[in-house]
Amino acid sequence: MKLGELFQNGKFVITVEAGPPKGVDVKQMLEDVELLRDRVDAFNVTDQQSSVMKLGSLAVSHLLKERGVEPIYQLTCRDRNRIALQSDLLSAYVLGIENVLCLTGDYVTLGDHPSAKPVFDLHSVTLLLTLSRLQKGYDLAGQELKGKPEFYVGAVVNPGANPLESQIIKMEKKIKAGAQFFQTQAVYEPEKFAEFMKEVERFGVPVMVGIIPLKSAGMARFMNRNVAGVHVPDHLISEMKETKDRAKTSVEIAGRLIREMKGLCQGVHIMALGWEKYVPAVLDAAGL
Amino acid sequence: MGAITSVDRKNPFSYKSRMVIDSVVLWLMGIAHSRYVKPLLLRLFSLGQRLLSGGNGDIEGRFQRFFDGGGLASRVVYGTVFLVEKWTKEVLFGCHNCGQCLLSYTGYTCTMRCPKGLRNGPCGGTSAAGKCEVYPDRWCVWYLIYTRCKRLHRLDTLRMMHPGVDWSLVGTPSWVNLLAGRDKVAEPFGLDKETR
Repeated sequence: MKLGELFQNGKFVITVEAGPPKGVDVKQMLEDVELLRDRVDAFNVTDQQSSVMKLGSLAVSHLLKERGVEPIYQLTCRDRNRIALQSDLLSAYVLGIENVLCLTGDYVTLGDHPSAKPVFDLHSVTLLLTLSRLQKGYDLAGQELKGKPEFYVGAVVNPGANPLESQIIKMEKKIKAGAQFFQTQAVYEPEKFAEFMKEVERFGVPVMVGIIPLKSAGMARFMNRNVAGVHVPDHLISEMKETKDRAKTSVEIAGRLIREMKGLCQGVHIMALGWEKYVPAVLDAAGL
Repeated sequence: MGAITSVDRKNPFSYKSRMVIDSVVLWLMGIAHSRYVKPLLLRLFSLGQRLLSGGNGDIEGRFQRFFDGGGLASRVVYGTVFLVEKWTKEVLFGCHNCGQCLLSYTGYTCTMRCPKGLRNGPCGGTSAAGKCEVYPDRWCVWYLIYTRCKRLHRLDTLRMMHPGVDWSLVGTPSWVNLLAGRDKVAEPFGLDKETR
């Protein structure tokens, strides 16, 4: 099922992340998926997130599809040139994968193999252009394809980026290049998100707000220092610092953020980063 | 031409001193490029057009055949253009010789200096202070492009859609590629039809 059908029906779409393991033991990941499959619409299968080598997103997307769970196949340009990217997209289609999220990918030195060769032959925008071309029945070299793939195509945007204007110009380009929906970087400031949505509403594409439940005050401070475009305001940090039950407060905060922002956008994308077991509680708290 | 994606390793200037040079150059370039460089290129273009085709016909093809021909004249022209372009752009802009120049659309900022070589806009990793996520002591290339294009009132150029790098052109002179129609970045001077 393509996510587009849900957006069209006016459903508030919920997605979460399914992070492939480092290694071949997929038991824990599949358990997390089973736990959430009835509460969410689709799972983003990350492609070596943060440049850390892991089991591939194509294989895991296929495993989910086999179990009747809807994957969003994430594809980054960090590790593959345009030949491999196009081939992987065709492979994804024949495996029955219907939703793709196209990203540039983190730089290699931020991950666990800093000595690897950074590829970046294409980038998010050119990958989207390439995908649009495949969907028209041609590859990037202009050769005709035998049977053409068809995906519901996503991209990402960072509403906290500085300067916001160039981020929005890029978002516009992504839409022109073929992006049909957007997931955002984590947002902790509903007021700023409202300003962002006011700017991008005119594009008429569904936007899913990104939520990362805070695990501790330390994590919040770490993100403020190290993650560009993410700002956790002080009152949330002190809430996390003063609480006795961190999980409970974290769930409350995440639920509250979603409640405040769900009227502004068309869906929510929760990145639980290992706290998958608390996602149902977050959704309850958000009234979803 | 080694790994283009590894930034600034061979540049003779330190990053800080180049930033100072950059801001002066940017200001001068804004004037010089539009007043002198582009008219000169256009003039050379039409001169070449007259010489090669009598002013009509498949001009790009003729340029291409001229440069591919490998005769003495073409080698001299190619070599001269190559050296002039390489030296000026390397010194002034930290050019990485991608062979398909975007400088005139990016506020004279080489996009190949971005670690990811992004050509269509910033990633989400620009810090609040405008620094690069990969090299926190350096400016984000796309932060520079944005601020410079804004100063030059050329934010419209950020909306241009650029294809992926043609790696077969890397290390060759972009001016020749432009004339020979190999450079698909923009139609030769297509952006500037109004000035033509």
